[in-house]
Amino acid sequence: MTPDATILAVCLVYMAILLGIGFAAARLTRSPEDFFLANRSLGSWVTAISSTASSESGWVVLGTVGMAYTEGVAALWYAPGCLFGYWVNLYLVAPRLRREAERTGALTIPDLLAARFGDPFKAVRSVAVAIILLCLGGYVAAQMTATGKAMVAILGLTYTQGIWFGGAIIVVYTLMGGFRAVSWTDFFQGAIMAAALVAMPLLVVAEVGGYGAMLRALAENDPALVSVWGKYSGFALFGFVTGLLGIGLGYPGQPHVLTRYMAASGDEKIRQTQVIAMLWGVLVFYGSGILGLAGRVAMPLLGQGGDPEQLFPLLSRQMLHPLIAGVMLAAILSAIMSTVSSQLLVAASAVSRDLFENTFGLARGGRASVLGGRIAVLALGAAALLVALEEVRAVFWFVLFAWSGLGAAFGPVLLLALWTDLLTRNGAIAGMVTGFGVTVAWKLGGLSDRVIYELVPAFLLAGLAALAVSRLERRRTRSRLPA
Amino acid sequence: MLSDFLASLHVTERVCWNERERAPASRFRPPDPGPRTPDPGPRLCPFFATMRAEVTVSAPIPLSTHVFLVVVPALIAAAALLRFLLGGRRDA
Repeated sequence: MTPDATILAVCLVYMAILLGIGFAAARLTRSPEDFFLANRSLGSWVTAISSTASSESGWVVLGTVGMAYTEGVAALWYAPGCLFGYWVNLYLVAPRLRREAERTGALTIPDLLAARFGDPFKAVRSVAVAIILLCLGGYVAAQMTATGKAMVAILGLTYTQGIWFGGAIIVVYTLMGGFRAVSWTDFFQGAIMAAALVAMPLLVVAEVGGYGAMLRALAENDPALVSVWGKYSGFALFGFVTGLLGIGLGYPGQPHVLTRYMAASGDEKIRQTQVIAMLWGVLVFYGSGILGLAGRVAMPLLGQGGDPEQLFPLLSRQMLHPLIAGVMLAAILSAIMSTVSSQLLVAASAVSRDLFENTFGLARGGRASVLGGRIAVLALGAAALLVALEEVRAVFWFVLFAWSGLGAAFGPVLLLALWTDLLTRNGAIAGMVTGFGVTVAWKLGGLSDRVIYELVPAFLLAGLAALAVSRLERRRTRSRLPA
Repeated sequence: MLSDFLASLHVTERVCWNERERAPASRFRPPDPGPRTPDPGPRLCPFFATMRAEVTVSAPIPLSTHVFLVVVPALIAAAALLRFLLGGRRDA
């Protein structure tokens, strides 16, 4: 068997496993609680690894590796930033979110917010759904594009074939097994990602002579590559470091991650989830960074003649037996596909559960609700596939705001709602609108490149707006009461 | 960015893969401590030129780099493990 045929065979087995999981999960999916939240039955390993895998797309296996290759040690500021986000999610959000979701019967984040604040005019739910659809709609289409192009690169298909093949597999297993299938496949994919991002850095560091030799070689090439502050100083350094640390602020606002905590089967599972997810994060984030640093020593000319983001797949193919290289390339597909299936399901739940059932009062409960969810997955998945095939640029515009828009809109509101009684309904709406609005305005104003990553000011301003409006509303209410 | 990468990946991989088929020997070598002469052999794949010939002097590595790359992740992992092992049930 030729190396390419071996790699192809491994990737096809990987796809078959995903479909198998989808069909197995479908047999357990009977109620809306099953389809949208796996009947709150997830164990700690699945909750932990599926939540982390769904939050890390191709960015972690390709982008961060390339960034460490280019920037050196300083690029790894993203790692403590992301781990801070994990900590906030796992220790501050997850335990209370799970309990609140169970108490209120919420199946989605808009469900939970509506239950928490009371929502007689459906305003809280409508604003939340609009932001989710604006952010995730384009994101799903863009990830479909990435899936298709990964298929082109790895399986040698045409772009159109790649989109249809990759997209169809994602849509089918999401549609069949709903939340349970997405969580199980994400667990499987997250395990592959972690294995790849532990094994590859170890191999490449050993190849270049070990940890000390790697750093010495980098320092010889350019001393800034081994500096924690990189080539930056003054305000540029502040912007660079706070920007990378600020990525972590996005985690408490990602609905496709938060719903995993809502689906955990109990408090003890969340406690186990905390340690598993933190360790997974340490391995993956530092693994990808170290891989980029070692790759700079192993392939110093890649930065001049090619794209450093190619480092992981290139090294896999060059260093490993085709069988193992196939697993490594499956890890890239895993990173992309685990994110897109999670986002697709959350977007579908926003349409079927939040919009049609709870806002328009259609198809409530039981099998009708599951059918509605499946139709929404199929419709949104098909729309995303068509957008990806046609490469509609206007849709991809929203991708720019997806992570920071969701993070700023939902993060501060959820944290305040779970930990304080300070927020009112209008305060929550003000927080969500301000978070999303500031993200878009900051980005369009070019301030993200010139000053600081948009999520940092948007997150802070969203929290302030939520608190200020809540306080004003309470004061006005008090002044209306008779003395 | 990702799409550009993926689009170009196929061609680049093919080039390097073919070169590897022809020249499987010594792609990566650890930098030796002593002085070396550059490898005179042809570099069939430009992406796989190693830096072994350039590393002749031990450059000082700041302590903060080791703290950043080794101590910080070790502390984070240890803190998560310890918190789990020692209880930490208050918020869970």
